[in-house]
Amino acid sequence: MNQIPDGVWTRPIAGRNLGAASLGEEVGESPTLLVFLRHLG
Amino acid sequence: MAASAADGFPSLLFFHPASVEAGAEFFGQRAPSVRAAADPDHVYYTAFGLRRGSWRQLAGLAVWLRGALAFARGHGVGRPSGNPLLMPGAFLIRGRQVVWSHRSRHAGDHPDLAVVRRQAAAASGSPAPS
Repeated sequence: MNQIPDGVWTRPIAGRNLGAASLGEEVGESPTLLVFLRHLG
Repeated sequence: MAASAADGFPSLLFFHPASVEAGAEFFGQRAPSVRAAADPDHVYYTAFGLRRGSWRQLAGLAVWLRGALAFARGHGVGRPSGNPLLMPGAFLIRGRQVVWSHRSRHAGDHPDLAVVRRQAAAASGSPAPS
């Protein structure tokens, strides 16, 4: 994937310390590292 | 989780496959300031091409070796919450553009932080850190 699709970019997100309603609003245009964890613990 | 913008690191946003409540409890105890999005339905994992790992990726020799090294450094393993069969990964984005990615070859394969810093500097137009 070179570009994040609309459905993911605008999809509502929920979690800790998030100030926006979607991934796109949360990260804006600044470089951001998305880290996907296998699990918690 | 200790890396920060002060180290030339990009902003971080974690995704985890557990519930919002489980994530709030986990990060609240270990890293209260980080941003963490819950993805219990694996929508984001799937969109970024992260799927269930093979037996070798999840429990092969390389995973045991990395686990032993981590244990020797004082890191333990708690009771997992979420889906321990998913493969991890990291994606550096700028806006909607994915400018660099690390798809773990096995469960113990983590991105090289020096590479992340260089890629982040390139993405932001800053001089690459030495």
